[in-house]
This record gives sequence, structure tokens and C-alpha cells, in this order.
Amino acid sequence: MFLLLGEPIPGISELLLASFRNRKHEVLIIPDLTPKMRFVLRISTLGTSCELHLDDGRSFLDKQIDGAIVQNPPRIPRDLPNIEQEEYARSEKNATLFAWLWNLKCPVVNRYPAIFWYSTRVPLPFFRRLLAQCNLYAADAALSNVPLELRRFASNVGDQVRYAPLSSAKSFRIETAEDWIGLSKMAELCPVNLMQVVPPIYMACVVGCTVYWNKAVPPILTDLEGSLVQLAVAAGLSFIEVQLLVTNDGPRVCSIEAFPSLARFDSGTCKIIADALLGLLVTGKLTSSSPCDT
Amino acid sequence: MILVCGGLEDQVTRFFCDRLKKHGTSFRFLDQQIYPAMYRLRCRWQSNCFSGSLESKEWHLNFEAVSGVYVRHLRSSQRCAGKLGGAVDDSGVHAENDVGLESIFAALSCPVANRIGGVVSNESKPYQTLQIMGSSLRIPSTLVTNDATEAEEFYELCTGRVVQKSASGMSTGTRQLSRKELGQLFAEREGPVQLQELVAGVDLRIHVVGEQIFATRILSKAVDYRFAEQAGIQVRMEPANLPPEIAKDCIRLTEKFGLIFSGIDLKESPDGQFYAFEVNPSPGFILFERATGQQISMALIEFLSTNRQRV
Repeated sequence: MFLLLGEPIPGISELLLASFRNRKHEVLIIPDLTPKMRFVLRISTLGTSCELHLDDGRSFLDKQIDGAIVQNPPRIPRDLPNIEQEEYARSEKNATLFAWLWNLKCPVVNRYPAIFWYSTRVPLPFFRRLLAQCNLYAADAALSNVPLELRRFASNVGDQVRYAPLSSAKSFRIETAEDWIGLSKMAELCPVNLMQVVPPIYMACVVGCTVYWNKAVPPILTDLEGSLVQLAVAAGLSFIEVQLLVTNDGPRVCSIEAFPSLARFDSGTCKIIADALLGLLVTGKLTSSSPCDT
Repeated sequence: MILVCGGLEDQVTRFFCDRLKKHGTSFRFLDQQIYPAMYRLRCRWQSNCFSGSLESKEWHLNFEAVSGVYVRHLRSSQRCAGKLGGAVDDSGVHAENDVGLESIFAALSCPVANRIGGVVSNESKPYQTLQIMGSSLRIPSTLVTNDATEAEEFYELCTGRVVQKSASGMSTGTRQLSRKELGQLFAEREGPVQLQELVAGVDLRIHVVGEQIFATRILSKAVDYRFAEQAGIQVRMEPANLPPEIAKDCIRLTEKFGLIFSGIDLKESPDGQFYAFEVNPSPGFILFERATGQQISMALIEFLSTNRQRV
């Protein structure tokens, strides 16, 4: 029995399910803990045990789960009217789900460290030390609430910049005078993160010890595959998505996604990635626990 | 130079700043109530190298000169409202500001008490408990469930000596449950509940600063001594000594969670066993320092002053 835990990732969940079924594996889909299921986690000095009882009568012990793929942590929609009442219940459920994920004895993709589970987004600066350890470079960036400093940075990198809020996955090209006026207004509220972005952007998806690309890439990027795998291992993950670009100074990482959406990958590659994820679970060759042979 | 980040509305931050002044240690205070409006921040990451500065009306701080950082993020409600009069979601702005500061702290090579990566482990107490396993510390019998029948059985097994506490970081205190209250708990809620055996013994709070240990014994009849005075129950605190193995485990746990400063809740049972409950990444240490005279703040000041390089 394999487990798909967390809120489904559009586009991937269906492929994962199809891949599980093609291999004749039974899958249990648990987007969230609901009142319809009974969940039991026991912890003591002597050990732990966990049970899940579904309303259709099926019951599962932890040892019956052969592998798990963790999708997005459930979150409260920000526009919910009674958000404060919901907040406590949500945080209790997430704390429970997180403990469950760490108590699973089977291979788990990804067994997220707390920083990933509990942040809406882990921004690039948090990875910079890991990138350096893996001989990778992050794209140059400036964080400032001083408009002149932001202008200076843009000028230094040939005016090829994007405004990349640290708490969001979105980014916005800054080109026109109007863009700069908007950016200065934003800087009155919070320091603005500007990043050097030189198109085209390439997407790499690391699954265990293998790197998949969203398009044909120059050798200068394929040369980085070992480092990208090393980065995933260093972050405690075995499935990540990395945005890269090539500047005059060489390849640069401009974003790392611990909850890959594969939105920029074609359906054929997504299917291959889904199969590879299952392969990781079945073979148990997870980079976080068993280093790659290469 | 120590950088303190937080708000003076928080009594722990205020106390720490007072101690810095008294000790004559150079520090700069980043007041989150007026940040970023009253500051000028300039940071750059170029070829994986970080440089930057922060400037207020009174001072200019180059981040290279920072030997250590003490952080207690101010709650969103205690900060200045957004300038756009509700046109912008304040909580989104505060979140962006906090992530920006944490990005800077992540780039610094000096000690930070504490970086966010370590702090978030406290958002799941059962996760922390799982991480504590394997040390010489004992784990109280714990049940996390949404199943009332299972909870009843646990209650029986613990002969009615059961407490309920939040599984998440949103603490609601610890309370002993009667059988009736246990039933009510599951009637009111649909989500999971964390129950724990009520361990007999004496509460201990262990503050770890780097490799220094401050153990405080808390003498009280209250189930949760934090709320004892409100309930009219007396609380007395005194310095304590820990067996070396337990002290080592407290230091190891602090490191394991990526912290340099922690407040660990233990209980010493009558048969001399030490039970671990949680590792607090942002401990309100002043209660213990005031009651016992233990120099926790001084240890922290010294630790943050000596410019240790992060490994």
C-alpha cells in the first residue's frame, strides 16, 4: 500500500495515480485528516505506533504502508471569513500530519524538514549557504527599501531585473518608468527583493539522483547535474524543482521549489518524473537516506 | 556588536536590551514596530557573497560588524499598520518584512538566537517528541487522536492521570482532564487532540546557551506552573543540577533542532528518571532569571558577543 499525503498538486497527482495503477500498486489518498477517518498516533519511550481507520472499514498500520509521496501541506484559504477560529484547528491538524510524516518508517518523498512544511515558501536566500556548499551560484540580488540602491543594483546587472517578493513564488519584470514608480511605492512598505534575471529560464527537476530538464539545455547546465542532486540531498529532499539561467558570469540558480508543480514541464516529461518518483519509493533509493552511487 | 530584533512591547526583548545596556555591550536595536519605515536597508548577494547595512536616524550598522543576533519577532498586531490605509494586506507586508530579515540572518555567519529554520520545529510537539526519542531522556506516554474511544482507553491506561495540551505551537496551556472533560473535548472538536500521561515529579526548565546549561527546579502543585499564580497556587524556583548525561542530551537536542538558545521542559520523576516535553526555541527566560538570579541573559550576551563563526 502506498500513500499520497497532503493536498493534491494539480497536474502531478493524476500522473502519480496513473503510475501507481500501471504498476498495480494500491494507493491510499489522504489530502487531509478529516472527521470521517480515525487517526491514532501513540508515542512513548518504548516506541511509536500509528493507525488509520477509514469510514469504509479499511484500517492501516504504519507498517502496512510501503511508501509515501507528500504533496502540499493543507492550508487555510486567506479569504476565509472565520479564519481565526479555523487557525487553531488547522495548526493542530498540520502538527499531527507533520508528526505522522516523520513517524512513517517507509520511504517518503519528501520527508520535509519543518522549515518547508511550515513556511508558505522558503525563498532563495535561505538556500544560499547550501548552494555555495554544492558549488552552485545563486542569481545576484538586492534587498532594499532605498530606491536609489535598487536602481544602482539594476544598473550593475545590465537592467535585467525582476521584482521577486521573498514570500511569493511570483516575480515581475521591472523595465518601464512606471514599473520603477510602483517599485518605489512598494519599498515604502517593505524592502524590495530585486533579482538579476537573464532569459531564457531553464527548469531542472531533481528526482533522487536524476535530473530532468524542461527543454534542451546547454552543456554548461547539464554539467551541474551532480551539484543539483547534491543540493537536494543537502536540503534533506529527494524531489525539488530548480530554476536556472545563464549569465555572463556563468549559470545561476534563481529559484528552488521544495513543492514542485512541474508547471513548465511537458506532459511527457511529467509522466517520466511521476514514474521516477514511484521508482524511488519502490527501490527505496532515497537520496536523503541513501547517497547516490555517483 | 549585537543586533537585537523585536519590539519593546515584548518584555523579554525589553529585559534583554536593559541587560545589554547594564553590561555595557554595544548593540543596535531593530524596532519591528517601526520597521522598515524608519530604517534604510541595503543588502546585496553577489556571487554567493552577502554584504549590507542597516541605518536608523541615530546609527549605521554594517552587517559585517555584527557578532550575534537576538530575535523575537513582534506579533503582527503590535506593529504599525500599513501606510496604504487597508489597501494592502498588512499581514502580507509583515510576512514579507519578516522573511526579508530572516533572509539576512540566514546570510550572516555569526550566531543568531534563533534562526527561523530551528524555531519552526516547535510548531509540532509530537514531531519534537519523535526527535527527542533515542536520547537518555524519557518520553511521556502520548496519544494524538481524533478517536474518543481510543482516548477513553488511554485515560484508563493512565488511571485517569491525563493532561491535554496543544499539538501545535499555538499553546493553550496544559490541563488535567476529568473523564467528563475528556468526553466534552471530543464532543466539541472534530480534529486531533494531544493527550499525555501526567508524569509525577518536579518540573525543570533547562536553558541552553551554546554549550552552557542553566537548570531551574520549579516547585509548585499546579499542573501548568505558568498559570499557577493566576489560580492562586504558589510557585517557587531554585537553581538545580543535572546529571551530566541529561545535560549533554539537552545540548545535543538544542543543536539537533538548529538552535543556539533553547528552553527545554523536563520533569524529574520520584524514581530519578528525566522526562522531556518540549524544546522551546524562543524561551521567555526572564521569569527564571528573576526568580533564581541565574545569569541566562549574561551567558547569551557573551555568546552573541564573541563572533563565533557558523560551521
